[in-house]
Amino acid sequence: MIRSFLRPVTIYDACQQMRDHGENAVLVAGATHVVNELHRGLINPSVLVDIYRLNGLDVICMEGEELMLGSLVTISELIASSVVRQFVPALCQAAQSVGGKQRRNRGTLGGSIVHADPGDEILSVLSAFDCCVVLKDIEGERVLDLREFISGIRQTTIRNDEILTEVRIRLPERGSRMSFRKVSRRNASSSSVMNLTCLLLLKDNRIVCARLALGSVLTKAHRMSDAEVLLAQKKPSRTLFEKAGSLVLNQALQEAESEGLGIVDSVGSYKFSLMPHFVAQVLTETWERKE
Amino acid sequence: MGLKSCVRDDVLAKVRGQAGYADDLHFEDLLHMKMVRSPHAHARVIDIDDSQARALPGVIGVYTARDLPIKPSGPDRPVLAWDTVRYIGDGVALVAAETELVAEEAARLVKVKYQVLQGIFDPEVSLHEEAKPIHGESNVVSHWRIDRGDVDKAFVLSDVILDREYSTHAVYHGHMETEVAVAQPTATGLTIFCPSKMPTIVRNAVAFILGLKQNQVRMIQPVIGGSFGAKGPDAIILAARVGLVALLTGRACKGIYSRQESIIEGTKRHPFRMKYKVGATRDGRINAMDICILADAGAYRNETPRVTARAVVEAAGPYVVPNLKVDVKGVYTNQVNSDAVRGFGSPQVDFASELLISELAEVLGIDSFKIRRINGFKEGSLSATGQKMTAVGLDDCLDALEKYLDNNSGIKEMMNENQIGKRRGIGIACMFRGESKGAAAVDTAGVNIQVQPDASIVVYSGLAEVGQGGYTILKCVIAKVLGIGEERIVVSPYDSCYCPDGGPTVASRGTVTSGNAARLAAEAIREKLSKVAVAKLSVPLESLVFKEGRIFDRGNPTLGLSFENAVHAVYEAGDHAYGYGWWSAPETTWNYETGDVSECAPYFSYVYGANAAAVEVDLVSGKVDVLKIVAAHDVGFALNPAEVKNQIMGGVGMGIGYALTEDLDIEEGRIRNDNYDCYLLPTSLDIQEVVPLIVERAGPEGPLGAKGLGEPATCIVAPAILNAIANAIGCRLYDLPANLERVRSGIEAAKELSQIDLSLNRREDCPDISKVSIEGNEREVRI
Repeated sequence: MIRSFLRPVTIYDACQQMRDHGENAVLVAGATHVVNELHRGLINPSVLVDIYRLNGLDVICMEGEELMLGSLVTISELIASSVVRQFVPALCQAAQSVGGKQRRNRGTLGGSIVHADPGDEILSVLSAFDCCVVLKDIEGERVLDLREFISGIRQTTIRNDEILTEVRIRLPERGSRMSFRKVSRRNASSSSVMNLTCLLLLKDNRIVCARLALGSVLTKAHRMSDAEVLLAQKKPSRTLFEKAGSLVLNQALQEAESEGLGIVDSVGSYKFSLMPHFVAQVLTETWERKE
Repeated sequence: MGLKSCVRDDVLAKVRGQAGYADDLHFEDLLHMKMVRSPHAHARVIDIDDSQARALPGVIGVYTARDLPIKPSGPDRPVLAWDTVRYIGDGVALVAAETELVAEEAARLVKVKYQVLQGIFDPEVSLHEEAKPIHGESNVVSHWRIDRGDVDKAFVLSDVILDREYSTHAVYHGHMETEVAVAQPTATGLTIFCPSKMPTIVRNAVAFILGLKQNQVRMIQPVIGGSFGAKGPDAIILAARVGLVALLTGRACKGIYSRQESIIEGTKRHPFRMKYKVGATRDGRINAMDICILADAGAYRNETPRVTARAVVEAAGPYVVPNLKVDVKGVYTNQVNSDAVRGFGSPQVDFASELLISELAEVLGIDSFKIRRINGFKEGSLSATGQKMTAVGLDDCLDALEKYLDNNSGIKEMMNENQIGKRRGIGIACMFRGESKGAAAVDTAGVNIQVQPDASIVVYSGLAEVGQGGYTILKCVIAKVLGIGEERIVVSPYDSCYCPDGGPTVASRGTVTSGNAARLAAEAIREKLSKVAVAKLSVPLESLVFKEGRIFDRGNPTLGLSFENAVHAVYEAGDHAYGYGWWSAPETTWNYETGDVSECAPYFSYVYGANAAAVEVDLVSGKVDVLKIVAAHDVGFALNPAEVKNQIMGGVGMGIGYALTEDLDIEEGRIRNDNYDCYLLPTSLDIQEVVPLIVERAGPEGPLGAKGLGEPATCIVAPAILNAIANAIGCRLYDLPANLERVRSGIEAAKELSQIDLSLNRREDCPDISKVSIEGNEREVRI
């Protein structure tokens, strides 16, 4: 049962309080995940440390070739940001597809990342980029690659007394086209059955570089490197994209096996039957996008 | 068309935040009740150890079935299970505590020892000889049959035979407010505050369960946050639980379910498995149908006998079938309980009959409107139970629908605008539906109108306003009869102390039953006022007109008096201007003894409807978007046209959910999607354009010819959508819901037949449905 609700005013205080209360404390920001977990009895903290009103963690800015996003930037703020729209339009698209309006208004970027849901739309986009997260505690900070940070289904390497304060996205080369698409069961407030973030850099009608991040299939959003390799240095065509789709399917099946995931239920077999077509569709869409 | 629209009675308070819901009420010294429920689908309760729970500070008591004055028995769901639990969610014990949190904690601390028994999760298994009865001697809850003509012979004489299997699923009502009740002890018994669709029945049931007289329980209906068929038996059980605590402790007690509790414990729509065989001539005339239906009742009886009764009557659709066999069984299982959900057995059979007739049309190459007109009921047609049909509005609905589709080029253009990787299609469905309770049930309602000395009016009715606009209908009827404006009338909230019984708000019956009672009550007042007017104006009774707040001479409209003056004169003379109306439905017949209902008149009147759906199917994901629903419904006479349209829109929304996204994920009795994050009601983005078409063919019984609409509005949305999907992808689906997986496999099946090119870069026209071979069930075609 929750016995105290703390609202520190500095990051340091927040870290200190988390350290003082140890495993009994849970950090909460927008509360869209935490309240769900409380409600379902998945967590049972006696202390909630609310960082939603901490100053300085809602910054969106460019630093050189990196886009810096504060962890308290809300999903709605991602959608509204002209900087995000200009440099990472796929992130806007993904943000728009998150939950309902209330959830987008409350939910934060940091919350999405630390809860590491395999179907999380924001994480799907971030996984397509070189991206790192900044974690602070009372002693200092550490910077981790996003891939190292997420260790499994809803699992990360964050310690209980650490706070995720910032995300740094290394921007792809100018002129890259990108898009995010998700398959869901209804048109709003619906989780991803599958999602894909796709990035294509084209020069002289040739793909210089391709990135594909597949979400909601494996333990976390996953880069589809086999297909990326195939696509590189090729001329875009429907056949090529269909081939890429098949490679994504093969890789996903292999990864699923090595991750010990069951793929035999109806949803699983649906996902795998859909996957090559979905990938080809999103690639086509990205290719047809204006730079 | 109809009367002038007026603003619904209940909405202003709701949108202004002034509506008093049960959870908003404040009580001194309030206790909170939480349930201990069975985690097993079938088990014997060996021991209940409540010592830890009782030791928790703030806990007032832990109660079991042993604390009930009457031992629960029989096939009806108990307030608390005696020694056997029959589904996951059956109540075993209840905890009363000072706060909700303590009650919750204490409920977790109650240790129940179970001996787990074999559960039955499939209605077919339930019928096996070796299956142990869940209640009494047999697992059959109800069994109704129709056998008319010679089906076997008629099949031999048919040119085409289709043999199909259909299935529908369990869905949740999706009301915003979960079940809630507060009981307050009084000097004479109890006062219960409980939003329900049937307040008088809840009162009577609570009194019976708790060993009280009906007049010892005062039932007050707070504003309800949605019903859609729910808050019937679930409300009774919850009200009795808090009532028990109030009686045992002498303190007020409140129980409110969380969404999970509501989904786990509460009733659902009956899942149906249906086998349909139809034989027709090559010109599209139906010769014979053989229908066999199994309805999953869940663990207790609830309304299964009546749901299946409706299903047997309506199974063959609104069609003349000279040779017909229907066999409908309701069967116990250890699944969650099935009961009333808007439609009450109709949506399931409408789904099957409308998919079947559309497929028959495709196979025979006949237009889908035409085949429905060839076979559809006309004035004087004989129904499945041999009843002579009157006031038949089927063709009116089909005409209205077809005219709309023909005259709105937008629809045809919409159908040709196929986006890359998508395919559009259109489908229709039609229906008939028995009005009110039917099947020889007692079907009555009372309304008491009190015209105050200042000529304002208070109406007392047992009709439950569940958001359907029932109170407004009463106002419309009374205003029309007395020739006054609705703004003069206030409908009192329900209180069993002074409101007459209106029966339940079920079966789309409020408009007809309470509406008629209101008409009778208003006519009684009119009679009184007429006497005064005759005396004052010296005009004959026959030439009096009640209009625009005046009573005047038809021949000389200036000769008259105001409604106020007439009322005043009545009171001046030492009389009152009160009117009481009690309406009893015309007799209906049913065969409870043998279950053979081949010769019955189960309903006194029927309503009709025809819907069209335009859909877009994503050929990659199988995602279906409903672009447009056109819904024509025969409402007899539109008492409040704006509300008729709103009812249709709401019903369509519910139908879209039933067709596409709503699906309880149940495994061996355990519901896995027990909250709105994964139980997917359609959102505003899933319900696009809805075009309601009002059709008026006056009914024989309704006030001013009005008919009920609440349930019809939702009944045939799903078959229209599934027919549209078949039209889009060239492959039929036979099971609800048409989720991503099913539609995708339909696309793949069609693709194997090389009907549809999944090309991502090319636009193509719609497939010509007549050239598409139909994959799916085996079929026998002999032309």
